[in-house]
This record gives sequence, C-alpha cells and structure tokens, in this order.
Amino acid sequence: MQRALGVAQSILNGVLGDHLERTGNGLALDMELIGANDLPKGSKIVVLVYGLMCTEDVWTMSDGSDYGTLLARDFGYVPLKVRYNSGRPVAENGKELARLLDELVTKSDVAEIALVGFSMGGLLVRSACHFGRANAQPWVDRVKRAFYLGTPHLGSPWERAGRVLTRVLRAVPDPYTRLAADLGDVRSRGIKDLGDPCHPYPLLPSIRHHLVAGFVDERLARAFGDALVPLASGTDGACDHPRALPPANVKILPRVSHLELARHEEVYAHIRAWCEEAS
Amino acid sequence: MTTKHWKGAAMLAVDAVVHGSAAVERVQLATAKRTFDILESIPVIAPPSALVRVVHDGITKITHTSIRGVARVAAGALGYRVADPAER
Repeated sequence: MQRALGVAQSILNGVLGDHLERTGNGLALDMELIGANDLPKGSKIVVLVYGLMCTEDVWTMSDGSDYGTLLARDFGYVPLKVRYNSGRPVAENGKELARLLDELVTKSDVAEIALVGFSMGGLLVRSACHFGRANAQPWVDRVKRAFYLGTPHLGSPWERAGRVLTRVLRAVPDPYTRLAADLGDVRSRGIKDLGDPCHPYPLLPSIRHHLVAGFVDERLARAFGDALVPLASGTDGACDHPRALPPANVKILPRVSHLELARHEEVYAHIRAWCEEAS
Repeated sequence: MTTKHWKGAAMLAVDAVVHGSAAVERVQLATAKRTFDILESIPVIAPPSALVRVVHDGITKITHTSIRGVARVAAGALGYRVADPAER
C-alpha cells in the first residue's frame, strides 16, 4: 500500500509538480539524498537520479540489487539515491541537487563522486554540474564520471508532438478543443522542459561522460529508440556525429526499452567496464 | 498517508473544482453563444431569445461562481488561498 502511494505521489509530482510546489501543497516531494545520513568521512559515493514520474524502485533489478549496490560491491562506492519532484523545471532541480551535493561534500569530505542519471535524471546531472561549476562549488572537482542512461539530451519528440497538438487544438475556434488544449497545457514544467531540442548546458570537460541508449526495434530505432527517447537524443547526437563524444563512451543496446535501462544487467556490465578502465 | 498528504490531496481537489468549474463555465457560455447568436439573427424570435440568453448566462455564472465560492470556503478552512483561474 505504502509503495503504491509512493508511486502515485511520484506520478502526481511528474504531472503537476510545479503547481504543487507553487501552491505549497504537501504532496510535493522535497529533494533529498537517501542514504546520506551518517556518511563516513572520505567516502566514495555514487548518486543515482531517477527520471520523470519514477521512484527509487525504478533501479531495482529482479534479484533485488541495483546499480548502487553493485557499485558498492565492486568498487566500494556508497550508494545514495535522489528523491525529487520531477515536475519542477529541470534547471531548478539541477540547482537544488548541486546545493545538496555541496552541503554533503562540505560536511562529509567526500573523496569521489560518480553520478548516474536515468532519463530526466541525466538532465539533472548535467544541470547540477553546470551550476556547481558556475558557483565554484568544490564537489564538482570530485566528480570523476557521469553515466547517462536513456537521457533525452536532445529532447523528446513526444513532448514536442504534445506542444504541436495543444497549439493546433487552441487554434481551432471551438470551445471543446480549447478545453482539451487547456487540459494538455496543465502538464508540468518538468515535462515541457523535455521538449527542448538541446540541453542548455554543455557536458563538463573535466568529467568522463558515459552514455547508454537502447532501442526496441531496429527498423524504428532512429525515430523511436527505446520507445521514449530516440537514439540521437539518447546519445547526445553521437550516433550521427561519432566525434561528438569518444565512441567508447557511448553504448547502444538492442532490444532494451526505456525503463529497462534503469535496471539491466548489460547496462551494469558497461558501467562496470567503464569504472574498471577509468580506475 | 500523513496529515500533510491528506491536506495536500484536499488542496488539490479544491484546485480541480475551482479551475475545472472555470473551464466548464467558459465552454458552456461559448457553446450557448453559438445557439443564441443563430436564434437572435431570426427577427421574429430575436427579442425573447435575447432575454433567454441573459437568464441562461446569468444562471450559468451564478452556479459556477457558487461552486467556486464553496470550494474557496473549504480551502480557507485548510488555510489555503486558491489562485484565481486567470492567474494560472
């Protein structure tokens, strides 16, 4: 029951999170770093950031493990999971994440940070790094690598289609289609941010960036990718322009859907290989 | 669910009523306008149609304003001020 309520609250936050925050509604989730209490000084941490309308359960594999516990087992990272209101603007959440990481690093003298962002979570990671660097926060220098799993770096065509649809509905001089347009426009700023054709902040050169994208059907891979994020967006353009990122830092997995990217053994195998070659 | 969550759910219900009522009122008035515009273009029935329009629109506005008023009173009991639908 508690789990179902948590899922419902996360979905509500994804759809209406900016409204909940603006109106001071108690259903709005506050951002928190789960697992950050009593962090030993000098720890290596891995921070997992889920995507739109998700909960921490999105990371859980069939055997109960997740990328955090596996990285703890294999590399000694302390896993922290970010809980947040995914309906807020991505940049606002990025700023908040940067602030929390700054506080944590100041308090616990964290030795090293790895960031793992799934879907929208990857955009938060990019934003947080940008704001951390812009504000000269020391935690950014402790970030050695960042992993982006199914992250729509070049936006989502579904949100762009939604924008076009609401515009068309609003242009029709009919009260019912305008009502439908009004209902469509209720969606949160977080969702609307996913329609932006490129992320406003570049990947920081001081961090090793690793991108994983999936596709469900080879014939539709380019247009639909993992069913939510097209390949070009999931690879930040690297599938069309291989020099955009080192090819070794980009993995494209066949027959892996969007949600599976958050809890797939093959994805972890790549994360592990990247950590081994970088350590 | 904590008290904070229950209160949040109630606030959300009030928001839905206030904003939903405003949207439905707009649709009702716009839909009726089409019909009344046609009726009022026919000279024989134009005068009574204009009267019926005034009564119809008046009842529609009073009904929805009352619905929003009750919702706002309920919101006030929660210590919550609902934004006017136009402020969204």
